[in-house]
Amino acid sequence: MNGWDFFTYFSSILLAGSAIWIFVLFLRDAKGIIQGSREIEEPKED
Amino acid sequence: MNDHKLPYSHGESDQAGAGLAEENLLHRGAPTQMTISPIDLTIVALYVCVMLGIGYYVFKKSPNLEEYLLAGRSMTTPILVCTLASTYYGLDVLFGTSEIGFNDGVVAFFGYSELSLGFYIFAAYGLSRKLKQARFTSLPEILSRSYGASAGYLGAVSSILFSIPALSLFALGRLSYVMLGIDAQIGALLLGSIALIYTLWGGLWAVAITDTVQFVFMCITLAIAVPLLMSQVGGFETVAANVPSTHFDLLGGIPFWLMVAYAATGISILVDPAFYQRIFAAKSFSQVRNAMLIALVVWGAYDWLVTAAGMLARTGVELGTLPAGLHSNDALLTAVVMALPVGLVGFFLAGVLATSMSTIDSYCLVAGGNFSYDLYRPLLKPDASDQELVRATKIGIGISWVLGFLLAFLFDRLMSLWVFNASLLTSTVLVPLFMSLFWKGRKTPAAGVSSFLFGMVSVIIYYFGIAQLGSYDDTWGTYIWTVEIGGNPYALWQEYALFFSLPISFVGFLVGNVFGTPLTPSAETVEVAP
Repeated sequence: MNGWDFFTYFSSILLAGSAIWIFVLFLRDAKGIIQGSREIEEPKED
Repeated sequence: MNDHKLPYSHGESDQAGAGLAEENLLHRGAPTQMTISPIDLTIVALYVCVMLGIGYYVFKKSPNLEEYLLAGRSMTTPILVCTLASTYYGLDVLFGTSEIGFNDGVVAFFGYSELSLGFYIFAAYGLSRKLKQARFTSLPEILSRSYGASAGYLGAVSSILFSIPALSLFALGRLSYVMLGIDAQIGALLLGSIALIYTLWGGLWAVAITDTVQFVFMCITLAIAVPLLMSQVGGFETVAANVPSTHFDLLGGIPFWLMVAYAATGISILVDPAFYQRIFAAKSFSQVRNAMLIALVVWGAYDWLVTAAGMLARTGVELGTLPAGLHSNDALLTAVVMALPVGLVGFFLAGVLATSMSTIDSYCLVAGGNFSYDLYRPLLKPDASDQELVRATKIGIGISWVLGFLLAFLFDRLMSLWVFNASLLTSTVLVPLFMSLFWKGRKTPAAGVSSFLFGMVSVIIYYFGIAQLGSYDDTWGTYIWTVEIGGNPYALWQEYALFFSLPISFVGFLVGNVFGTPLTPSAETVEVAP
């Protein structure tokens, strides 16, 4: 395995790891945000 | 093989950088249709249904204008990373970078891709803070607050023209033919309509959530496919033995000024209305800054993998494991489909389709917002209710989609000009926008308008002047005009347009500022610079 191979494996792990990590954080945030944004806005309209 | 075509304008969104990558994908004759297994086709169909489901879920919540256009200004870092990455890494990067990797090697990564990332760092630290502080809703609003209504209207029209998704619909049609065997026009109509429907239903939330699904699909399938492809080919030692040694030159012998010109194309992110929309939609400055910094890491890894895939595909061709006549623009798609097992191919193809659809949805939404918020509201109905503006936005989304489709499939000559619209937006809007944000001194409406017009006229004259005076260079795939000054030849490339138009736009700003009168305090003017 030469340096380019290593760089490619490293990039693959970095990309897949980042995508999974970001997706987990997204799932944690998404539903609450969609519901929460309306809850925040409603008092302002009153 | 020395098919040394210029790449897309890297560092721009799929919309802005739609140049040669998508153009090649669409214009170079009859494409080769792929054979896809029923399992993979089922996955693609399920994916399309999920996109519609997401749009409908958001639609049921009847979003108000701020939720519809800006996701209630409540986007957090994870979803911002996904939507930024998806919007800016579209077909141009996927096919353009891999094509350069195939033809020219690692310069695709070190020369074309990474030099423009400095603009992203500036955008993360310098620009996003300013924009969040001022609580804008759209890019033209920045101009109208500093220079008055006329500059805002000009900015809105420029932004709408930029956002019409002609090239993306064209590419989607071609992809649907290559991947699914559907006629290009019908494919663009069907799949483009799906992007239109979920955007109409859900606005930015639907766009961002579908971007997220696409982001995950593309990253994971690419991260699996490239190492598999590498092991099938035999690693980079086999690559080195089968491709020209110049494929490992970091900067690949590109002319210096061309390298500067391509690094400079990254500047277009600083005027891209979809990028601004995502900053406005962020919950806070720190959320968007962190998202951009994380996205930089993701983009770097993604860039290298598509470069590597192009080089590995070239090696596959040399070794006979891929077809001998494989076009460099098809290299990534063909090689990845060969490397991945059934099932994962479906996820990858769904991701490729979604890459095109995410551009269509994002920019239709931008155009719709410009139509309602920046034109309809100030020009026709200043007291429009929230729901009226949402309706007007949806009408604007529909109009921009229809215009994009007509341009893509009925007006070929206009289409060839459409690749020029990113330079037009940058030349007209960048200077007045940045003077608005960062210049604390006097600003007049005349300065905003004349800066816009000087930039517009100069870029048009330059672009078409080089095409008339110069000659088409087959090696580089662009127009070059060589002039002699003092006995020395100087080559002016069409790609150098911004070197001329931006200084001229700045001169226009200075001239307008000298002769114009600042807005009166009663006018709607807000100093953005602290």
